[in-house]
Amino acid sequence: MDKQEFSDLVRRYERFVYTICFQFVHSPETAQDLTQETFLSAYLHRDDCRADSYQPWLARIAANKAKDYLKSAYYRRVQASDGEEGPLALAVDLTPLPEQQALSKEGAEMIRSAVLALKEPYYQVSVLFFLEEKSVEEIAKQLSRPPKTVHTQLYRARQMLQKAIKEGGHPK
Amino acid sequence: MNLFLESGHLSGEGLDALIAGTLDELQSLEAAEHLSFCDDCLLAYTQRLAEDTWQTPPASVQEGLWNKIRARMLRVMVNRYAVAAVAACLALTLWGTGFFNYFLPQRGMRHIDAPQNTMTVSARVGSFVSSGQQALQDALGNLFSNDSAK
Repeated sequence: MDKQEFSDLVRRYERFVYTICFQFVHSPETAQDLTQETFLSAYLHRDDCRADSYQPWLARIAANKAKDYLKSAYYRRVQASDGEEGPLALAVDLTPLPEQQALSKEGAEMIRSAVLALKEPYYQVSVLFFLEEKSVEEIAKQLSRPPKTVHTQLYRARQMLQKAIKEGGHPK
Repeated sequence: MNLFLESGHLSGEGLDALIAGTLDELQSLEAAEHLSFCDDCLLAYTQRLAEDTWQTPPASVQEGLWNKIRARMLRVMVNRYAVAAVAACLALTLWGTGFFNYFLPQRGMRHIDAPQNTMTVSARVGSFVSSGQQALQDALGNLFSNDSAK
C-alpha cells in the first residue's frame, strides 16, 4: 500500500475510527489522539491486512488503543484510592491456605459464594482459578482468551472478592 | 444492565450501551478488552456502527498523522543503525585484540600469534587503538601530500 492509498484509507475510515475511540473514552481530545495512534499503528503494519478487511482490522486496532488508555487510567485511579494497602497486598489474603480451610470452613464457603456471585467477564475465570485451581494458561486456552487478559480479569476479580468479603456481602 | 452474557460474550444491550456512550469507566475497559480478542463480538459491534452514525473529529487526523509517521520511521531507522553500528564496533574491537584467535584450532596459527597471547586485554585494546590511529594518520598524511602535489 503506497502513501496515496493509505491517505485514502484514512480519509475513508477516519470518522469510523474516531467514533469507536470516542465511544470508549468519552473525550473528543483523547479520542482524536487515539485515532491518530490507530492510524499510525495501521501504517506500520499496513501489509498485514487484506483489502476487504480494513474495517474490522481498524476497529480491532482502535479497541486495543482504547483498552491500553483505559487500563492505564483505571489502574492509576485504583492505586491512588487504595492508599498504603495496594491491591496485591489484599490479594495475598484472599486465597486461604489448605490448613486454614480445615479450620475455617465458613471462610472458605464465604469465598466460594462470593466467587459464584461474580458476573462475567470475571465469573468463569474466577471459578476456574479459585475453585477448580486451574492455571492461567489452562484458563486462557479453555476460554479462548489471551493469558494477559485472564491475568487482568483475575486481578480485578480478587479486588471485588476481597471487598465483598470485607463487607460481608456479594461482589457487584 | 448485563454487559456480558453467561457465555462471556458482549450482550446486545451491552453493545447498544457502548454505542450510546453510557458505559462507565470499568465497563468501557471490560468491553475494550473483550473486543481486543473476540472476533465475533467485534464483527457484531462494527455491523451496528452504520456510516450515518459515524462522528466527525474536532480536526482532521491527517494533519498531524504524517508528521508522526515520519518521526516514528526515523526513530526505527536510527535504532536499527545504532544497533548495527555498536555490533560492528564490538566485532572490530574483538577482532583487533585477537579475541577470536582463542577459538582458532591449534594448527600453527596460535604459534604465529603466541607472543600476543601473553598481553593483557587492556594492552591489546591499547595496541589496537594505537595501530588504528597510526593507520588513520598515515592515510590522512598521504591524502594531503597528494593534494599538495597536485
